[in-house]
Amino acid sequence: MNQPARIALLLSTMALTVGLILEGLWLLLFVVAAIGSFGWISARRGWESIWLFLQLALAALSGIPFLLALLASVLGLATWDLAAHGRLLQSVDNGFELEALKTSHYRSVALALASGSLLAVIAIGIPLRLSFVAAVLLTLLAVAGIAGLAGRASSASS
Amino acid sequence: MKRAGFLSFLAFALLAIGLALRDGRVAALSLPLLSYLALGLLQTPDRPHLEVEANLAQSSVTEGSIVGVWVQVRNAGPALPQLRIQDHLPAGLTVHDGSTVSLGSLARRASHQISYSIRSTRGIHSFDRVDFVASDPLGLFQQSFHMPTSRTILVRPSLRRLRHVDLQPLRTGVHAGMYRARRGGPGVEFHGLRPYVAGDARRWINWKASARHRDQLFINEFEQERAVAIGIIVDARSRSNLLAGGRSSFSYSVQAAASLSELFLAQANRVGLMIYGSHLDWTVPGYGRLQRERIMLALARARAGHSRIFDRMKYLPTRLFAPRSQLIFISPVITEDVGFLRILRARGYPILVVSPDRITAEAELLDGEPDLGLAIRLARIEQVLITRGLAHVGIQRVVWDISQPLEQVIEAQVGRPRRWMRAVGARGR
Repeated sequence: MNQPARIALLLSTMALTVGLILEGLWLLLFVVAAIGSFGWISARRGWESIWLFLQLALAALSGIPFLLALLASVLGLATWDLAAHGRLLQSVDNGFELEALKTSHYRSVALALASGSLLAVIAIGIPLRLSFVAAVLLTLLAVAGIAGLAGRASSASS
Repeated sequence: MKRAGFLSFLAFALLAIGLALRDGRVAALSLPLLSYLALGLLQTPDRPHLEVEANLAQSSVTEGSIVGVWVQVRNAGPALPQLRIQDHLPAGLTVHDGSTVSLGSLARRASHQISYSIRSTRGIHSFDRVDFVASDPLGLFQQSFHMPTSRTILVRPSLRRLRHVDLQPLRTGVHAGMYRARRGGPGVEFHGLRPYVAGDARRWINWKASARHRDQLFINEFEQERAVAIGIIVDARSRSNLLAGGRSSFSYSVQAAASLSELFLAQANRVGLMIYGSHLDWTVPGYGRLQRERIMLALARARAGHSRIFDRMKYLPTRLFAPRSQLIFISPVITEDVGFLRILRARGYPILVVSPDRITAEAELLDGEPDLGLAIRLARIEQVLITRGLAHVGIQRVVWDISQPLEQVIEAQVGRPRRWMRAVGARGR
């Protein structure tokens, strides 16, 4: 597990912890501690996807303040990405133009996370008065978009 | 699960939970994930166009040699932020130094070269393609493709240099060679005397013998040395070469066949090769370097195998060999083969059997097993019985203890005796 991923993992766990303390959900701290420890092990062994799933579930469902939940999920995503990328680099002995590869990767990650966080903050900060039906339609539209992305991913990899 | 699929699932789940709880904050947590996915999608390289040039340092080597491999990749299309290159290594070859895989970023019109070396194992190996995986910088959307290459390497079996194999051929050819033809004429070894006739060289007149006769001169005759027609039969049946743990002694048979054919061809003999196993691989008899290459090619691709048709030696097509030609049978020899070899001998073929000693190889593999000593003794008894059974009909068998070099065993058992030993009439075995 590389250093940036380790830092991101620690920060995301801390964000969740602070959120839980603020909400007074003391019992959930054990869960956070367990998920943090699991993340430490999993990122090294290639189970970081399971850890990201647990981290996001906790951030979304624990009811902690939105900004802390957003911070925890963004850092969780960064951990997931950096751990996998570090392992990819370690798996290959013979690299070429690795600096260019790393630079473009880190730049893309930073851009994706920053833009995603900004969008989320704007989405929550600007109150939209939507009916339930409109919300369902918007969600369906989003789901169709996600399915399209997943379909493209699977066709490209085959 | 692919990375993009996993992220899509998470984003979908957050949206669904947000909708179910009627909580926009939960749904908003999916936005970083969607942003990540969208950025990956936007940066996916469109139609990579690569040019590949691949080479091997040598196209024909001996088993165990180290061979260099180069793959040059040039990007003739858009820049590829993440590219994984893997040279497809044929089965049976191992990397000696370097790596077949390379990862990096390839700019437009840039080139990259992979170089590594392999340790060669016997066979004909084709490097038929180079695999590529191009993806966006985040590694989400991957495009896998390969480019064909045509590189083939022939790895010939390793050879041991043999000095001479003392055969007793019944029939010799017309060309000069190394084997005594049992006929008088020019040569080295004394054969006998005959009356002088006009045209004979005076220097061959035996004056001592001529002095005993008043009206007749006698001249010395020598044994002619001629080339021999030799058929090498390699037993490639799995069951006769089987060792403990599914291993095979076949590679020793191949080494023996390669070394013997090399020697016989160097001595100007006419050599043919038959590999009898999963199928019949017949190399028509011939002379010289070209024949050597044909035989090496056949031995390089030889594999031990099983076939119902060729399961027993009695189906070996002996008519392919010239009548009374010398046969070299290379096989560990199982008991049921003895009958076939006897029949072959009865048909007039002089036979030399070379048997890689499976017992030694097996004993090494089974070291520490209980009752191993007893099993070895029983196997040795069987081996001696087979050797005696063959010797009884005039078939000589060389049992090659594989812990010893082949040339040493051949030299000791069927090699030419040293000159001083021949001078005193000893065989030196």
